[in-house]
Amino acid sequence: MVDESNVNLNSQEDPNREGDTQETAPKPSGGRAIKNFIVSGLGKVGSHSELIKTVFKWVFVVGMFVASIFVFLSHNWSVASILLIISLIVFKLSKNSFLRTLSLIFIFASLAILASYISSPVIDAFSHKNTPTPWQDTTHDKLARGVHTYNTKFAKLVKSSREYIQHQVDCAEGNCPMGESEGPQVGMMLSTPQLMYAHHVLVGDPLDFSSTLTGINLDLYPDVVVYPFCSVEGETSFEGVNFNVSPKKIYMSDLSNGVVPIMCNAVAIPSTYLMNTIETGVRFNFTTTSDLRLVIMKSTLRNALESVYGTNFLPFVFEINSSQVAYYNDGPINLGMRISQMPLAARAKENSAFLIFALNNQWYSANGAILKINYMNISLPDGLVLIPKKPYCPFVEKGNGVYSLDPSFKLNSPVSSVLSFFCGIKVSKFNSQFPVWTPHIDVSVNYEYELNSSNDIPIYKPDESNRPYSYDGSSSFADQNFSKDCSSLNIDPNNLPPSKYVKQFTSSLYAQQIQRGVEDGASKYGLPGFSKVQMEALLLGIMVMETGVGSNPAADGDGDGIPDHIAGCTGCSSGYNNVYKDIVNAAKALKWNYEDNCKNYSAYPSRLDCALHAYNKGPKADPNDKTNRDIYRPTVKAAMNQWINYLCSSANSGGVSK
Amino acid sequence: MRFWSLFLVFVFLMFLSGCSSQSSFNVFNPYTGSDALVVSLMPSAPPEITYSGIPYKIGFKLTNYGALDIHNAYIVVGTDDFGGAKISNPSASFDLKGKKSTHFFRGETTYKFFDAVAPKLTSSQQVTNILLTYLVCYPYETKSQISLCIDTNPYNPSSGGCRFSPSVDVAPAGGPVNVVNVKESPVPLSSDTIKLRFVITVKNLGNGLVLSYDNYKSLCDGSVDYKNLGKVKVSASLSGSPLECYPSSISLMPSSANPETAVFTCYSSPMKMRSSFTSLLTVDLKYGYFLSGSKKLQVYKLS
Repeated sequence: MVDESNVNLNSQEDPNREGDTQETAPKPSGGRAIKNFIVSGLGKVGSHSELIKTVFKWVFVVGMFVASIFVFLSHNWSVASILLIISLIVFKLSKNSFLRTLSLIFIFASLAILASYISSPVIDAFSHKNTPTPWQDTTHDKLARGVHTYNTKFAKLVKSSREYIQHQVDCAEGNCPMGESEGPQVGMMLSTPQLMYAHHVLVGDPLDFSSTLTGINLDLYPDVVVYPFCSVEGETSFEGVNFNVSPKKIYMSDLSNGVVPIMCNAVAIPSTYLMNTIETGVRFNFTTTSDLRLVIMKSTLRNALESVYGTNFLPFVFEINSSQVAYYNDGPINLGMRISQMPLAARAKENSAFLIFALNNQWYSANGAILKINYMNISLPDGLVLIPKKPYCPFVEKGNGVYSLDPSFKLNSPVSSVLSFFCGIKVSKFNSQFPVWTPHIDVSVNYEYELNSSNDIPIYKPDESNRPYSYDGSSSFADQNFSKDCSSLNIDPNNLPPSKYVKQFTSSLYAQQIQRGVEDGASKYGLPGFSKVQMEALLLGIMVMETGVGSNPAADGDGDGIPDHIAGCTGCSSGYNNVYKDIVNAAKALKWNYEDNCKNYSAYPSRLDCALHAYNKGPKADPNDKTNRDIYRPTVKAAMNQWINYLCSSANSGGVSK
Repeated sequence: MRFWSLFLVFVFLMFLSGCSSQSSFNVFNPYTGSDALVVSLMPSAPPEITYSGIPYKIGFKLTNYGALDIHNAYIVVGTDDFGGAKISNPSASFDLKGKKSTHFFRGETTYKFFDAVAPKLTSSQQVTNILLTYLVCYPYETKSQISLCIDTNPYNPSSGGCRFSPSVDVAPAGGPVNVVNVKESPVPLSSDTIKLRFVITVKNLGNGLVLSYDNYKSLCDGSVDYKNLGKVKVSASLSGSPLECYPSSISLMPSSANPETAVFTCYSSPMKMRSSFTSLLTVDLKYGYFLSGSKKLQVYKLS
C-alpha cells in the first residue's frame, strides 16, 4: 500500500512521475527507494501515519543535526568543505522544506568548522588553536591580523624617520657593528679644499680656497649649529693668519640632505716662504645620550631561575638578550653601554658588576674626532650606586643619582676611535614591587666635535730682495668710494689701446689677475680726485709704458706680461713673479709718491706728473732730469686716455669691475 | 530524487571522515591536550607603537585550555623604570573553569587590562623601546586516567581477557605536566599472590616552569626558594584503590641530562593471581605552574 500524500511530494517536482510511481514502481531510483522505504514503513502504522511521519521526520532532522555535530567535532576542514558544497547544492535545488531545513543545518555546521580556521577575536572564542607559549601566541595574533594600529596623526613622522629609527633601534639592540650605529643614514662629509682662483699661490697672494660640506638627514638635529673654520699649516707656522670664513655658521637642519660651500679668504698672509697645507673644517657641540636597560631580580628569583636554566636564563624567561648594549645612540658618537652581569641580583656585592661604556667615534671615516668633552653625566635610578674610581671611572657624585665626569679629566688628544670607561655598580635597594626590576641607566655626553679636510698646496717664494714696497694689507683708502661714472669724461671710442694690449687684459693667461689687480689697486690706492675708472686706466697706462702689457720694450724677464720694474724684481727670470700683487704694488708706489714725495710739485705740470716721474726715477728724482721725462709721463697719460676710452665705451661701461 | 542521492553521498562522506587518522568522532573528553592556562597579549593592547608620556592599555587574554578549574591564578605586569613609566595596579587574581566544567573544548576565558603610561623621552631622544614583562602563576592538577590491561600472572602473562602490554605511552591529559609512560609489571609475593608495580614517567610538556603546589605564587612575588622548583606531588589509584607511590613528590627540573622528566613508582596492594583484566589507573599530579613573557614597545617622541 502506498501513501498518496508522500507520493505527491514527488509529483510536485515532476508531475509525470506520479504515474511512474504507481505503475512502474519495481525499479525506483536510490533516493526514491529510501523514500518508498520510509513511506512504506509509515504506511504500516495506518491511521497514525501523519503523526508518525512528523515524528519520524523530526527524529531524522535531529539525527542529522547530531551527525553534523560529529562532523563539527571532527574539525576537519576538507570534510566541512564537502559538506558545505553539498548542502548549498541541496538547499538551492530542493523545494522540499524538510530537505532545505536539513541542508541549512549542515551549511551552518560546515561554516562554523571552516570559520574556526580563520583567526579573529570572535571566532577565536569558538575554536582553539594550540598555542604553546604566550609569546608565540602574541606573535601569531600579530601576524594573523597583519595590521598594526598606528596613530595616523603621526604616521608621516613615523614614515619619514622609520628607516633611520629602525636602524637606530636595531643598533640599540646590539645588532649593528661598532661605529656603524647610524651608518650612512646620518652624517656629514667635507670635501678636499681647493684653491678658488690661481693655479698656484705665491707668498703675499690672496689665499682663497673652498670645500663643500655635505649633510645627510641632519634635520634630526635642528638645533645644532656647525661653525666652519679655515686654517693653513706649513713648515713655518702661519699662525696668526685670519680668515674670512663664509658662512659663519650653519644649522644642521639647513645642511640636511644638501651641500653648503665653505669659502675661506685669508685676511693677511705673511710674506715668508712656506710649504703649506690648507684646511677647512667644522666644529660643533653635540650631545649624545644613551640608556641601558638593566634587569635586576630579587636574589631568590634570580637564583631559582639560574638553577633551572643556567646563568643565561633571560632569553628563556623573557626573551631578553643578556648581553644587550645600550639601545639609543645618535650623532657622531655611538655611546655604547653594557653591564657585566645580567640580570643583576638585588643584593649584588660591590665590584660584582661593572658598567662598561664607550664613546665610539662613528664618523671617523669623515675624519672626525672628539676635541673636548664638555660634560658627561651618568644618571642612575634610586637604588643603584656607581662606584667611581680613577683612572677607569673618573666621575664624581652630584646627588640624586647623578655622577659627572671629573672636571680634572682632560683628553690627551682628540678621540678618533674609542674612549671607554669602566665603573663598578651595585644595587643598594631593590626599588620595585615587581620582582623583576628593569630600570634604565642614562648617560649623556656633550662634546666638541670636529670634522676637517685638508689639501697640500705649493706656495712659492718670490724673490723679495728688490721689492720696493711690501704689502701689509692695510689701507686707509680701502673703503674709499670711487665714481665709476664715465659721463663726465670725454670718451673717444676711436682712440682705444692697441688690440694686443686689450687681448692681454681680457683673455690672456693672466687676464683674471690683471683685472683683479687693477681693480683692487685702484680701489685701495686711488689718487685724490681720480675716479675709479681713471685710476684703473692710469694703472693700465703704466703697464703699457713699462711693458706694453707683456710685450717689449720693457723688461719682462719671467714673461708674465707684467713689467719687472713694477713687479719689483728687475732681475726676475723665474716664475716667482705675481701679476696681481705687482699691479697692486704699482698702485701703492704711485700713491706713495703722489702723497709723500710730490707734496711740492711746482716743478711739474701737475702732481700726477710728479708722481709718475718719481715712480719712474725714484722718490728722490731730480725734476730737471730730462731722461725719459718727456717720454714716460706723456706716454702713460696717453695710454691712460686710451684705456679710459676703452673702459668707458658702451660695451665696457662700468670699468674692470663690470 | 537526485537530492536524496546527494544526501546519501553526504552521509557516506560524513562516515568516511570518521575514519580519518588525524581526527575522529570521539565523544567529548576534557582530559586531552597539554595546555592549561594560555596567556596572550591583546592585539592592540599594548600597541606596537606609543608616544612619550602617553597612557596606554595592556590587555591579556587568559584562557584555560586544561581539563580542570584554575583557582587563584595570579598575574603581575612590569615595565621599564625610567622617564615616569608606570603601570597602575600591576597585579590581578582570577579563576577559570576548565573544560570539564564548561563541557566545551576549552575552558573559561577572561580578560585583564592594566593601565600604563609610556615614559617621557629626553630632549635628545627620538625613539626608544621599553620592555613589558609579565609573570603568571597558578596552581594546577593533572588527572590522567589510563586504561590498562592488568596482568596478575607473572608466569603466564598472555592469559586473560585483554592484551597485556608492559609499557604504555600515555597521551596528555589536559594539563602541562603529564604522565607520558606507564610501565607495568607484577611483582610476586608468594606462589599465588602478587603486587602490581607501575613505573610512571612524568614530563613537563608545557612551556612554563613547574614549582610546588603550595608555593605556586612564589615565582611571581620573587619569594621563591629554589628547592620548591620543579616539585610535583604525585598520587595514583587503580580502579579507585589508592596505590603506594615512591617518592610522593618528584622534581621536574630542566637540564640537558634531564629534560623536565621524572619517574616514580607505585605499588598496588597484594592481590591473588588471576587472568588479565582491564582496569583504570588514575594518576594525580599537583603542582604550581609559572609562565612569563615580554613584549617590546617602541616609544616615539611627540614633536
